[in-house]
This record gives sequence, structure tokens and C-alpha cells, in this order.
Amino acid sequence: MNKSLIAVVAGVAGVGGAGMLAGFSNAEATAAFAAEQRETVFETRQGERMYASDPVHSSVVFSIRHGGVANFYGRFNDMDGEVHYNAESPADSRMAFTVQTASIDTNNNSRDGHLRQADFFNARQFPEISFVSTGISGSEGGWVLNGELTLQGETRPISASLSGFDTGTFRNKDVLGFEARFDIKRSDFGMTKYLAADGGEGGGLGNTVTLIVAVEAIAE
Amino acid sequence: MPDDLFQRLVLHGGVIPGAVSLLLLGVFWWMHRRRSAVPRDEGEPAGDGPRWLLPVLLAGGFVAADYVVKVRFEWWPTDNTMRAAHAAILLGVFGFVEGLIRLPAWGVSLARAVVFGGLAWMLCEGYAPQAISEADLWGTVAVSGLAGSLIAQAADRGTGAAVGWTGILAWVIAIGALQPMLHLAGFSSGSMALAGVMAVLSSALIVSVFVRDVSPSRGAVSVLTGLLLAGALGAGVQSEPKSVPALLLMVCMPLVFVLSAGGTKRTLMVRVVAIGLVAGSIAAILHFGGSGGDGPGEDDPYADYYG
Repeated sequence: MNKSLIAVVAGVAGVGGAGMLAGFSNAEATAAFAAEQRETVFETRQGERMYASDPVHSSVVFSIRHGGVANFYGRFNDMDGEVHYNAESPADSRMAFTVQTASIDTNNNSRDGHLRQADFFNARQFPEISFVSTGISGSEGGWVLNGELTLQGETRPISASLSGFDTGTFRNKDVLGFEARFDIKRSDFGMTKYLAADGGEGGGLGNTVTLIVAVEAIAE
Repeated sequence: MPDDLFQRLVLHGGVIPGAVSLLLLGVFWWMHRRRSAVPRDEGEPAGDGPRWLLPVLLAGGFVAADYVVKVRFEWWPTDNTMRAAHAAILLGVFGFVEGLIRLPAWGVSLARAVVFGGLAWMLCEGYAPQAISEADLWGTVAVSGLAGSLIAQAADRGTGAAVGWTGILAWVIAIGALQPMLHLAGFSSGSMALAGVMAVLSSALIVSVFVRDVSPSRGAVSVLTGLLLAGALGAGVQSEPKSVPALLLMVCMPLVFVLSAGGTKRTLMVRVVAIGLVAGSIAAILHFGGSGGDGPGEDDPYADYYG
């Protein structure tokens, strides 16, 4: 092979590789792009009042079985949500929230980076986890929140236990709070990496993930 | 790596693909050698041998190991990172056809450009528009096709010009070096899936010692270059542009195969040294660049929590 061909090949590879890779923005820019695209999910109906989530007083926590022996806990630091509360009939209220996958925090930077990457959340492609309610059933003290959860590009119907769904006043602001507890099978959403061969809770990481979304929202 | 995953990876992504490859390559190439030994009429070509087999086995080894890691196969997953097996199947089918049918050089180059461009599209289309613009996506597809085709052509010529086992041994070292690099770049599932490729290449190396005609040129080179391209794309997306120099070197690694120094042993020595230099440079950039972990000095970015 002559030297000129090698030079051409190396040059094209170099220029191509640089262009190929320089085109990718960083994870923060990806999350910012997703946030820009986000719109209010519901229009406020008669009898409803809209509350926007207070990111400073809202939490998203998850747990997963690790090594088949212990529960491990982590959190997401960025979430955004809206609640359209119907005071006359709380069961007719509606809510939606999104969680930024890149904001995962497990108290270990290396692990957080790994979780954002291809093996788990693939935050470059799926910067958000989102939930949109389709209805609330049950009664006060035993609400069940029904809706659709989108994770890793897969949207599935899901139910969560809903507690503390109530309104109040804090520092002269009308506020609302609730806690929703979801139990999901991560394999249902295509997150199968490091799953035990039988799809159970053994192996490196279990299949069931408990997601707790505790929201404080302020009336608009 | 969890114990159960390690055991499954060794068995289904290593021992089984390796044993199947050893058996099939041994049988098919032995039959070819026997046929070649029969006196032929003047002008009748001796045949190229079952060159279609190694690309299929390489893709199969990758798919098996990838399945062990992901425990799932969908026909067309939304998640781009779940399409590595699909990319390997595309490469395997192309390598099979390339090994079976002798095409003119321009035809092979054109077909490779289309296949490598398609591979880049299937691994990256989901990143637009949130991570890359549509224009960047199509630029990535075009450049991957063009650069991949030229690199594969150069590697194929160099591989075909030497005795088969020297090329295979050099590829064993190159793919073996790629595994820790992808791991350091934050693409750990990609590095694990290459175990299946290593198993098949190791079997091919054993067979090539006995049957000198066994060669990765025509077919297998396309699969291996495509997997390198896929690895570089995956690591590039996941580690972001922090590792650009390392990933450029990774894409260019097959160019080592154009090096020859007169004589099988000298050529092999030159290639091994070149691979060592390239691989060492990549590892050093990734290690000191801190693309995978918290910073310099961290050998394994996952070791502190995922032992």
C-alpha cells in the first residue's frame, strides 16, 4: 500500500472522527434541550387549581436490591411537576412530573457516571423519566394513582400508592403535598443490564425498583 | 462484575462460541485443504475457501456475549445502546456475502461505506435532536461510512498480504486491547460483548496455525473494523468529547495491519509493537484524561462500588 493512500485514510479517519465526536454535546446540554422542549401537560379545567412542584422541597428516591442481600438507595436531584387539584373531588385531580435522569445521585461520582451511561439510563438518548396520571381511585387515606410511566423510551401503564394528598398554607402560600410510591420491574422498560438470568431479585442488581416521589407544590 | 454474570459470560460468551468456532473452522478449512490438494485442470481456480464462515462466527460470538450482558433481545429496540447486537448481525451478514462472492474492489468499498453508514445510523439516530442535531447525525453517518470503508480497505489489503495467522494474532491483540479501553471510556457493556469476538478469534488463531490459508481478509476484516467503529461510537457518545484523541486512535487501529516488514515474523513483530504503542497511547489518554472515573490514578472507574 502506498504512503499517499495511508495518508488519505488516516486523514479522513481523523477528520471524520473529530467531526463525528465533536457533534455530540455534553449531558448538561442534552438535559437543557429536553427541558426547553417540555410544555405544560394538562390544561387547567373548571374546578381545578394548578400547583407547580417546588424543587427545593420535593424528592425523588429509589431503592433496588443489590447483590441479592441488601436494599440500596439513591435519588434524583432534579424534577419538575404539575398538579391540577380538584378540591371538591380530589379523585378527579390530575398530575404529571418529569425527572432528569442525569441528576441521579448515589453518593459516588463514578457510579453516577456509570448509571447515566449505556449500561443503565442512557441519559444522552433519554434525558427524562416522565409520569402522566390517567386517574385516581380509592378514597382518602387509601388513594391509588394510575397513570403512564415513560422510562428508556418505553411507556407503560402503572399504579402507585398515593399518600398525604392534601393542601395547606405555608408562609402565606397555598401549597399541596403528596407521596407516590411506585414498584416497577426495570426489565419492563428495557433496563436489563446486570439482571439475573431468571429476571429475579438475585444477581448483581435486582429487577424491582421502588420509586418514591414526594412532592411539595405551590399554587400558581 | 457480578459473579453470576461472570460465569454466564465465560460459558455463553466464551467457551461455547469458542468451541463451536474451533469445530466449524477446523472442519470447513480442513475440507477446503483436501479439495485444494486434488489436482485441477489448468486455469481452474483453487477457490478462496470458506471465508464466509469467520465473519458469521465473529458476529455470532458478539451477539451471544451481548445477550448474556443484556438478557434481552428485541427486534428493533428504541434504546440505541440495545442495538449493538443488531449492528453485529448487519456486519455478519455483510461479511458472509463478502466472503462468499468476490466483488470488484470498488464494489466492496461502496458496499462497506453503505454498511458502516447504516451501522452508525442505527447506533446514533436516537440521540437526535436532544444530544446531536439532525445535520450532525447525518454527518456522522456519512463520515463513518467513508472513513470506515477506507480503513477496512487498508486493513484488508494489509491482512491479505501476510500469512493468515499473523493477521489473526494481530487482531486478537487489537480486540483484546480494545476491551479495557472501552471499559475505561465508560462503555463497559461494549467491552464485555467483545469477549465473544475474542473467543472466536482465538479459535481462528489455533486453526490458522494448522491451515495457513485461514485469513481474516475478505469478510472478517469488515466485521472487525465495524465492531471497532461501533465501539468508538458507543464510547464517544457515553464519555462525551473528553476522549476524542483516544477514540480517534481507536478508529485508526486497523491501519496497523498495513504495516509489513519483509518476512512473517518481522511483520508480526512490527504489527504487535505498533498495536502496543497505539493501545498504550489510548489507555494513557483515557486513564489520565479521567473520562471514566473521578480523575487520574483511578485504574478501574467501577471498582470502588461494583466489585
